[in-house]
Amino acid sequence: MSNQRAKLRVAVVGSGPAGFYTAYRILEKAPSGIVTVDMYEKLPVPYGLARFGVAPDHPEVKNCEEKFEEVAQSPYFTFIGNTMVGAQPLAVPSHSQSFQPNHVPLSILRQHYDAIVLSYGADSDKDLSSSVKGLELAGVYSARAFVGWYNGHPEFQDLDPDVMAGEEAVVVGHGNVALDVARILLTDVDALRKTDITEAAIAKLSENKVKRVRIVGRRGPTQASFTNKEVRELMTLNGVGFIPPEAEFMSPFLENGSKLGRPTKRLFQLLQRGSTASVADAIKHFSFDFLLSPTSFVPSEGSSHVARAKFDVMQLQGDILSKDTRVKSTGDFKELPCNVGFMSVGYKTHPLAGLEDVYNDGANHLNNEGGKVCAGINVKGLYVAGWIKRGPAGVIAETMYDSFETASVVLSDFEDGEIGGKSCDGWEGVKAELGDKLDWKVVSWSDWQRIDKAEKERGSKIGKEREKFTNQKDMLAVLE
Amino acid sequence: MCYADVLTVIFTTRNLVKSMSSHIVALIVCRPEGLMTCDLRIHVTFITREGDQVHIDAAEGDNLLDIAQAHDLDMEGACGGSCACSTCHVIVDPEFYDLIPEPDDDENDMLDLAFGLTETSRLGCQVKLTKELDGLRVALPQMTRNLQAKDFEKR
Repeated sequence: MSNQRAKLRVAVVGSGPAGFYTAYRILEKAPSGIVTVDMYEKLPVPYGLARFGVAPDHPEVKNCEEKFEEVAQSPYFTFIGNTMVGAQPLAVPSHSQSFQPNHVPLSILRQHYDAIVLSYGADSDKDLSSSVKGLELAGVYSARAFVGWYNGHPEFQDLDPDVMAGEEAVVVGHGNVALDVARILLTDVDALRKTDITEAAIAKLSENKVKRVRIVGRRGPTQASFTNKEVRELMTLNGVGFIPPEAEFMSPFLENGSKLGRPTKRLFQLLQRGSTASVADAIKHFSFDFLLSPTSFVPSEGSSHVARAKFDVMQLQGDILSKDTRVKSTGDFKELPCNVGFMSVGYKTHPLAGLEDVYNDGANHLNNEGGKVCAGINVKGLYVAGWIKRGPAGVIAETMYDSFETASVVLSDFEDGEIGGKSCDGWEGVKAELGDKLDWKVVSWSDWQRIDKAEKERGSKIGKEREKFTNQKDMLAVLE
Repeated sequence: MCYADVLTVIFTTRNLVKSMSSHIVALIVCRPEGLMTCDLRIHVTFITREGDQVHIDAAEGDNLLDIAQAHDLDMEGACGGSCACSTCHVIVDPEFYDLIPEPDDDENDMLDLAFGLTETSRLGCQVKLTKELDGLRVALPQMTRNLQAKDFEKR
């Protein structure tokens, strides 16, 4: 039975939730056998932030991987791991030698696919080095790097965070990543031993001297980005007391409580109720500090290790209850003790080489309409999903709906005849074009399953769910 | 003598609290060993995003996420029903909302993040059917501002 119908070959760049949910939706909604999806991933292992971002003590959030495994079983899906799409390294210095990317330029992909969904996320931190001094001091880290380190990301294995430097930790930022960092610093390390946190992280955190964590934000409690679940987790940590903000600081916010949205109302209840552990009896403590904008990390005399953190004291300009209200410096400043500091002020995306003209630096994502890349030359067939589409914020649920939107745009463009029907040859064509240049081990889905099995076996020997391989060499060694 | 057929018995009872009659559909099942048991079927109606009414008879103890997925309704459960996301968000008919045990802190924390949250919103994975919920009606909310109804057409 000959099938005259035009076919659609789709490449997805990035195998995190955005890439997988887009692949899932495209394969689910398209007529069977008409669409194929090839998914490219720079690391030998899939899942992006589901593997490297979600905290080890949040295993249920990783249940989304079951759906991704189902998608990968489709005969119309091909995983192409250990293969990075991009002509050259993105503007990011690699933190370690544990990972050497293998590049395939986007321009080659475009010859062999009808549609390319870019879902490669955000690869670096928002850079505050022009306004904050001392970021290079020993003991000051990016929260993103710290999370990547304890979650076994090959690019961050050399981080060696100095959590033994002293008792005072400062985490700058009021998002969930900041709360994850605080929680990992304050949680009893024994509670983490059975999770998939790396053994190297457990060893380091066993020597953790941190007893006081200050979670510092530039704006007020009504502008914070973190969510209540994560606040509640901190409040219920064993033996950890919450030092509340001053009553007179909170009262202007509480006075107008009825005008607040539901999540903020509930946040204020959490802040007022405080921690399960009593402040007096607790050995460790944390606080939320508001209206402080970092200006510098300062070392102790004659040292290159951080000892203090300096902040400008800020003031809300306008409606203190609105999420959009901005802040201005009051001219006052404040100093906090800081033996170890973490910057958690947001991530930064970058355009792949060739996509600079459609990159929106201010918005921190590629220009697009509902997932279809726009406002540039020669953008036909380019789509985006996830953080590279709408900016680096939002949990898996938002990314899922966002990916469904992109999938729907891809399929409706196909239906309208705008893309498809070019008899593209996908990965076979890419391989042929690369020829000898393809000199690396491409990791297939069944290869990943062998790595997965090996990680679980290593883990079960030491009572853990899995023990991740933390460098590319070890991952590939499983396949020899 | 056993037969695999199911006898459906419909009878009316008076609901004292609401002074309204309610219909309880029960299946009297003849099991191979000759025992007769009574599995209570609870009627649930899902209202899809396109406005279609899907009528389902489910069992006591089933949760709405499992029921929706078993019947191919467009409801995702990204975290597998473990109260760690908001993708199984449903809007409960106000008439039934108070008959469901209140959400706990964990569910409320997830509902905080649900798009299009209403006064009668719940997570489908946390709503288990009971006899009192017979006739339950729930609506699937819009996913985001941008998705259209036509995106959910089955092909």
